[in-house]
Amino acid sequence: MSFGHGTLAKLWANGYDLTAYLQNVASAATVTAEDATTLGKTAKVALPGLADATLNLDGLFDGGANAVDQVLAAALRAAGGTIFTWLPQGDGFVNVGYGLLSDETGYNVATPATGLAKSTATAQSRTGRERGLVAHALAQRTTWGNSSWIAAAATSSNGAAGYLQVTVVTGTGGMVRLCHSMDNMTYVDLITFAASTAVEAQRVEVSGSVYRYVRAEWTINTSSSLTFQALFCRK
Amino acid sequence: MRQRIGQRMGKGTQAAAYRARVGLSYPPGRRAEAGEVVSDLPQASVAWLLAEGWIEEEPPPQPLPVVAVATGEGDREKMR
Repeated sequence: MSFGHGTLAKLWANGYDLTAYLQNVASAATVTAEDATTLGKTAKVALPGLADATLNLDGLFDGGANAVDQVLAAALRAAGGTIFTWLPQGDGFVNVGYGLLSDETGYNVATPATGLAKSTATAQSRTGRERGLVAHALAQRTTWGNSSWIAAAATSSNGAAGYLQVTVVTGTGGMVRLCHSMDNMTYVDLITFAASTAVEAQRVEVSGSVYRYVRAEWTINTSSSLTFQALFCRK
Repeated sequence: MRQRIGQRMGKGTQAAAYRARVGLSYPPGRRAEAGEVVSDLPQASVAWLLAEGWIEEEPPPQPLPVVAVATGEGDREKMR
Protein backbone atom coordinates (compact mmCIF):
# COMPACT_ATOMS: atom_id res chain seq x y z
CA MET A 1 0.00 0.00 0.00
CA SER A 2 1.06 3.53 -0.64
CA PHE A 3 -0.95 6.23 1.11
CA GLY A 4 -0.26 9.86 0.50
CA HIS A 5 -1.40 13.15 1.96
CA GLY A 6 -3.49 15.37 -0.26
CA THR A 7 -0.93 18.13 -0.07
CA LEU A 8 1.35 16.04 -2.31
CA ALA A 9 -1.05 16.50 -5.21
CA LYS A 10 -0.13 18.51 -8.27
CA LEU A 11 -2.25 19.94 -11.06
CA TRP A 12 -1.39 21.53 -14.39
CA ALA A 13 -3.76 23.23 -16.80
CA ASN A 14 -2.60 23.94 -20.36
CA GLY A 15 1.03 23.95 -19.26
CA TYR A 16 0.54 26.15 -16.19
CA ASP A 17 1.20 24.75 -12.76
CA LEU A 18 -1.78 25.67 -10.56
CA THR A 19 -0.65 23.60 -7.58
CA ALA A 20 0.44 26.56 -5.49
CA TYR A 21 -2.97 28.26 -5.80
CA LEU A 22 -5.24 25.31 -5.06
CA GLN A 23 -6.57 24.08 -1.73
CA ASN A 24 -8.68 21.23 -3.02
CA VAL A 25 -9.04 19.22 -6.23
CA ALA A 26 -11.86 16.74 -6.68
CA SER A 27 -12.97 14.68 -9.62
CA ALA A 28 -15.96 12.42 -10.17
CA ALA A 29 -15.92 9.77 -12.88
CA THR A 30 -19.08 7.92 -13.84
CA VAL A 31 -20.46 5.63 -16.51
CA THR A 32 -24.10 5.85 -17.49
CA ALA A 33 -26.23 2.82 -16.75
CA GLU A 34 -28.54 2.19 -19.70
CA ASP A 35 -31.73 0.38 -18.81
CA ALA A 36 -31.85 -3.01 -20.56
CA THR A 37 -34.65 -4.51 -18.53
CA THR A 38 -37.02 -6.64 -20.58
CA LEU A 39 -40.20 -8.58 -19.92
CA GLY A 40 -39.74 -11.63 -17.78
CA LYS A 41 -36.99 -10.16 -15.63
CA THR A 42 -37.37 -10.01 -11.87
CA ALA A 43 -34.82 -7.26 -11.38
CA LYS A 44 -33.62 -4.27 -13.36
CA VAL A 45 -30.81 -4.87 -15.81
CA ALA A 46 -28.42 -2.12 -16.82
CA LEU A 47 -25.64 -1.98 -19.37
CA PRO A 48 -22.73 0.42 -19.00
CA GLY A 49 -22.81 3.31 -21.45
CA LEU A 50 -20.80 6.49 -21.83
CA ALA A 51 -17.97 7.54 -19.56
CA ASP A 52 -18.22 10.92 -17.91
CA ALA A 53 -15.97 12.94 -15.60
CA THR A 54 -15.86 16.32 -13.95
CA LEU A 55 -13.12 18.23 -12.19
CA ASN A 56 -13.63 20.74 -9.39
CA LEU A 57 -10.95 23.15 -8.28
CA ASP A 58 -10.98 25.29 -5.12
CA GLY A 59 -8.22 27.70 -4.28
CA LEU A 60 -7.02 31.19 -3.60
CA PHE A 61 -7.35 34.05 -6.06
CA ASP A 62 -4.24 35.49 -7.69
CA GLY A 63 -4.57 37.97 -10.53
CA GLY A 64 -0.87 38.05 -11.43
CA ALA A 65 0.63 37.18 -14.80
CA ASN A 66 0.29 33.46 -15.58
CA ALA A 67 -1.36 32.95 -12.17
CA VAL A 68 -4.57 31.07 -11.46
CA ASP A 69 -7.03 33.80 -12.50
CA GLN A 70 -5.41 34.34 -15.89
CA VAL A 71 -5.32 30.62 -16.63
CA LEU A 72 -8.83 29.74 -15.46
CA ALA A 73 -10.46 32.85 -16.94
CA ALA A 74 -8.95 32.04 -20.35
CA ALA A 75 -9.98 28.41 -20.05
CA LEU A 76 -13.64 29.36 -19.64
CA ARG A 77 -14.06 30.07 -23.34
CA ALA A 78 -11.22 28.00 -24.82
CA ALA A 79 -12.52 26.48 -28.05
CA GLY A 80 -10.03 23.64 -27.98
CA GLY A 81 -10.82 22.79 -24.38
CA THR A 82 -8.46 22.73 -21.44
CA ILE A 83 -6.02 19.91 -20.79
CA PHE A 84 -5.59 19.04 -17.13
CA THR A 85 -3.06 16.66 -15.60
CA TRP A 86 -3.76 15.82 -11.97
CA LEU A 87 -1.36 13.78 -9.87
CA PRO A 88 -2.98 12.87 -6.51
CA GLN A 89 0.27 11.58 -5.00
CA GLY A 90 2.72 13.98 -6.58
CA ASP A 91 4.92 14.07 -9.63
CA GLY A 92 7.23 11.08 -9.52
CA PHE A 93 8.13 8.57 -12.21
CA VAL A 94 5.34 5.92 -12.52
CA ASN A 95 3.15 7.75 -10.01
CA VAL A 96 -0.54 7.49 -10.80
CA GLY A 97 -2.14 10.45 -12.50
CA TYR A 98 -5.32 11.48 -14.28
CA GLY A 99 -5.70 13.34 -17.53
CA LEU A 100 -8.77 15.21 -18.70
CA LEU A 101 -9.38 17.04 -21.94
CA SER A 102 -12.25 19.16 -20.76
CA ASP A 103 -14.36 22.24 -21.12
CA GLU A 104 -14.35 24.60 -18.20
CA THR A 105 -18.01 25.13 -17.41
CA GLY A 106 -17.69 27.50 -14.48
CA TYR A 107 -15.19 29.89 -12.97
CA ASN A 108 -16.14 31.74 -9.80
CA VAL A 109 -14.28 34.37 -7.85
CA ALA A 110 -15.34 35.30 -4.32
CA THR A 111 -14.08 38.08 -2.07
CA PRO A 112 -15.63 37.62 1.38
CA ALA A 113 -15.16 40.52 3.77
CA THR A 114 -13.85 38.17 6.42
CA GLY A 115 -11.44 36.02 4.41
CA LEU A 116 -9.13 35.60 1.46
CA ALA A 117 -10.27 36.05 -2.11
CA LYS A 118 -11.05 32.66 -3.62
CA SER A 119 -11.24 31.04 -7.03
CA THR A 120 -13.30 27.99 -7.87
CA ALA A 121 -13.70 26.27 -11.21
CA THR A 122 -15.54 23.30 -12.64
CA ALA A 123 -14.72 21.40 -15.81
CA GLN A 124 -16.59 18.81 -17.84
CA SER A 125 -14.37 16.26 -19.56
CA ARG A 126 -14.72 15.30 -23.22
CA THR A 127 -12.71 12.10 -22.74
CA GLY A 128 -13.78 10.75 -19.38
CA ARG A 129 -11.10 10.62 -16.73
CA GLU A 130 -8.07 8.82 -18.09
CA ARG A 131 -5.88 7.08 -15.57
CA GLY A 132 -2.20 6.74 -16.30
CA LEU A 133 1.33 6.68 -15.01
CA VAL A 134 3.93 9.42 -15.02
CA ALA A 135 6.32 8.65 -17.88
CA HIS A 136 8.37 11.78 -17.31
CA ALA A 137 8.25 13.86 -14.15
CA LEU A 138 8.59 17.60 -14.66
CA ALA A 139 12.18 18.38 -15.62
CA GLN A 140 14.12 20.53 -18.02
CA ARG A 141 15.76 18.74 -20.96
CA THR A 142 18.40 20.27 -23.19
CA THR A 143 19.52 17.28 -25.28
CA TRP A 144 18.07 14.13 -26.86
CA GLY A 145 17.20 11.45 -24.34
CA ASN A 146 14.72 8.99 -22.92
CA SER A 147 13.15 8.10 -19.60
CA SER A 148 13.27 4.77 -17.84
CA TRP A 149 10.59 2.32 -18.88
CA ILE A 150 7.10 1.55 -17.64
CA ALA A 151 6.36 -2.17 -17.85
CA ALA A 152 2.93 -3.74 -18.15
CA ALA A 153 2.28 -7.45 -17.82
CA ALA A 154 1.79 -7.87 -21.56
CA THR A 155 0.80 -6.16 -24.79
CA SER A 156 -2.62 -4.52 -24.62
CA SER A 157 -4.98 -3.90 -27.51
CA ASN A 158 -7.15 -0.91 -26.61
CA GLY A 159 -4.82 1.92 -27.50
CA ALA A 160 -3.55 4.66 -25.24
CA ALA A 161 -3.63 8.37 -24.56
CA GLY A 162 -0.73 10.62 -23.73
CA TYR A 163 -0.80 13.94 -21.91
CA LEU A 164 2.01 16.47 -22.22
CA GLN A 165 2.38 19.60 -20.11
CA VAL A 166 5.10 21.95 -21.32
CA THR A 167 5.80 24.59 -18.68
CA VAL A 168 8.92 26.34 -20.00
CA VAL A 169 10.43 26.62 -23.48
CA THR A 170 13.70 28.27 -24.40
CA GLY A 171 15.01 28.77 -27.91
CA THR A 172 12.95 26.87 -30.44
CA GLY A 173 11.94 24.07 -28.07
CA GLY A 174 11.71 20.46 -29.17
CA MET A 175 9.51 17.41 -29.44
CA VAL A 176 8.34 14.68 -27.06
CA ARG A 177 7.27 11.14 -27.93
CA LEU A 178 5.92 8.15 -26.03
CA CYS A 179 7.43 4.98 -27.47
CA HIS A 180 6.71 1.29 -26.91
CA SER A 181 8.68 -1.91 -27.22
CA MET A 182 8.28 -5.67 -27.09
CA ASP A 183 11.79 -6.35 -25.84
CA ASN A 184 12.79 -3.18 -23.95
CA MET A 185 15.62 -2.80 -26.45
CA THR A 186 14.26 -1.28 -29.62
CA TYR A 187 11.46 1.25 -29.17
CA VAL A 188 8.88 2.23 -31.79
CA ASP A 189 7.12 5.60 -31.81
CA LEU A 190 3.64 5.25 -30.33
CA ILE A 191 2.47 8.78 -29.51
CA THR A 192 4.22 11.72 -31.15
CA PHE A 193 3.30 15.07 -29.73
CA ALA A 194 3.53 18.08 -32.01
CA ALA A 195 6.72 20.10 -31.68
CA SER A 196 6.53 22.41 -28.66
CA THR A 197 7.60 26.01 -29.09
CA ALA A 198 5.68 27.63 -26.22
CA VAL A 199 3.98 26.86 -22.93
CA GLU A 200 1.15 24.47 -23.77
CA ALA A 201 -0.49 21.11 -23.16
CA GLN A 202 -1.35 18.34 -25.60
CA ARG A 203 -3.40 15.18 -25.51
CA VAL A 204 -2.84 12.56 -28.20
CA GLU A 205 -4.77 9.30 -28.47
CA VAL A 206 -3.89 6.19 -30.46
CA SER A 207 -5.75 2.95 -31.07
CA GLY A 208 -4.53 -0.62 -31.42
CA SER A 209 -1.74 -2.54 -29.79
CA VAL A 210 0.47 -1.09 -27.09
CA TYR A 211 3.47 -3.23 -26.29
CA ARG A 212 4.59 -4.17 -22.83
CA TYR A 213 7.29 -1.53 -22.36
CA VAL A 214 6.69 2.21 -22.72
CA ARG A 215 9.02 5.15 -22.22
CA ALA A 216 9.21 8.85 -22.98
CA GLU A 217 11.72 10.19 -25.47
CA TRP A 218 12.53 13.75 -26.39
CA THR A 219 14.41 15.61 -29.09
CA ILE A 220 15.55 19.11 -28.23
CA ASN A 221 16.54 21.66 -30.85
CA THR A 222 20.02 23.22 -30.80
CA SER A 223 20.57 25.77 -28.02
CA SER A 224 17.03 25.15 -26.74
CA SER A 225 15.27 23.43 -23.86
CA LEU A 226 11.91 22.02 -22.85
CA THR A 227 10.60 21.70 -19.33
CA PHE A 228 7.81 19.17 -19.49
CA GLN A 229 5.77 16.49 -17.74
CA ALA A 230 4.30 13.47 -19.54
CA LEU A 231 1.53 11.10 -18.48
CA PHE A 232 0.91 7.79 -20.24
CA CYS A 233 -2.59 6.26 -20.08
CA ARG A 234 -2.87 2.67 -21.31
CA LYS A 235 -6.47 1.74 -22.12
CA MET B 1 16.61 11.47 -49.31
CA ARG B 2 17.84 8.07 -48.29
CA GLN B 3 20.30 8.02 -45.44
CA ARG B 4 22.31 5.05 -44.40
CA ILE B 5 23.47 4.51 -40.87
CA GLY B 6 25.76 1.54 -40.48
CA GLN B 7 28.33 0.21 -38.16
CA ARG B 8 31.77 -0.58 -39.45
CA MET B 9 31.85 -4.18 -40.56
CA GLY B 10 34.76 -6.57 -41.03
CA LYS B 11 36.14 -7.25 -44.45
CA GLY B 12 33.71 -9.25 -46.56
CA THR B 13 30.83 -8.86 -44.06
CA GLN B 14 27.52 -7.41 -45.30
CA ALA B 15 25.06 -6.29 -42.59
CA ALA B 16 21.37 -6.75 -43.42
CA ALA B 17 19.69 -3.43 -44.08
CA TYR B 18 16.16 -2.47 -43.14
CA ARG B 19 14.00 0.51 -43.94
CA ALA B 20 12.24 1.96 -40.91
CA ARG B 21 8.52 2.51 -41.48
CA VAL B 22 8.18 4.44 -38.22
CA GLY B 23 10.58 6.23 -35.90
CA LEU B 24 12.83 3.78 -34.03
CA SER B 25 15.19 4.15 -31.11
CA TYR B 26 17.71 1.48 -30.20
CA PRO B 27 20.99 1.05 -28.41
CA PRO B 28 23.48 2.49 -28.20
CA GLY B 29 21.61 5.79 -28.35
CA ARG B 30 20.62 5.45 -32.01
CA ARG B 31 17.57 6.99 -33.66
CA ALA B 32 16.14 6.26 -37.11
CA GLU B 33 13.29 8.26 -38.56
CA ALA B 34 10.64 6.75 -40.83
CA GLY B 35 12.12 6.14 -44.26
CA GLU B 36 15.71 5.78 -43.12
CA VAL B 37 17.66 2.64 -44.00
CA VAL B 38 19.64 1.16 -41.13
CA SER B 39 21.91 -1.82 -40.79
CA ASP B 40 22.73 -1.76 -37.10
CA LEU B 41 19.43 -2.79 -35.50
CA PRO B 42 19.77 -5.13 -32.53
CA GLN B 43 19.53 -8.65 -33.95
CA ALA B 44 17.15 -9.68 -31.18
CA SER B 45 14.63 -7.01 -32.22
CA VAL B 46 14.60 -7.63 -35.96
CA ALA B 47 12.14 -10.53 -35.87
CA TRP B 48 9.37 -8.71 -34.04
CA LEU B 49 9.94 -5.46 -35.88
CA LEU B 50 9.53 -7.32 -39.19
CA ALA B 51 6.53 -9.29 -37.96
CA GLU B 52 4.77 -6.14 -36.76
CA GLY B 53 5.55 -4.29 -39.97
CA TRP B 54 7.70 -1.58 -38.41
CA ILE B 55 10.65 -2.32 -40.70
CA GLU B 56 11.04 -3.88 -44.12
CA GLU B 57 14.02 -5.60 -45.62
CA GLU B 58 16.03 -3.44 -47.93
CA PRO B 59 17.59 -5.24 -50.92
CA PRO B 60 21.38 -5.23 -50.82
CA PRO B 61 23.00 -2.65 -53.10
CA GLN B 62 23.80 -3.99 -56.60
CA PRO B 63 27.53 -4.18 -57.43
CA LEU B 64 28.58 -1.56 -59.93
CA PRO B 65 29.07 -2.93 -63.48
CA VAL B 66 32.69 -3.23 -64.58
CA VAL B 67 33.35 -0.95 -67.52
CA ALA B 68 36.57 -1.12 -69.51
CA VAL B 69 37.95 2.29 -70.25
CA ALA B 70 40.51 2.85 -72.99
CA THR B 71 43.22 5.22 -71.89
CA GLY B 72 45.76 4.86 -74.69
CA GLU B 73 46.63 3.26 -78.02
CA GLY B 74 47.82 0.06 -76.40
CA ASP B 75 44.63 -0.25 -74.36
CA ARG B 76 42.49 0.19 -77.46
CA GLU B 77 44.37 -2.66 -79.06
CA LYS B 78 43.73 -4.91 -76.06
CA MET B 79 40.02 -4.13 -76.13
CA ARG B 80 39.57 -5.23 -79.76
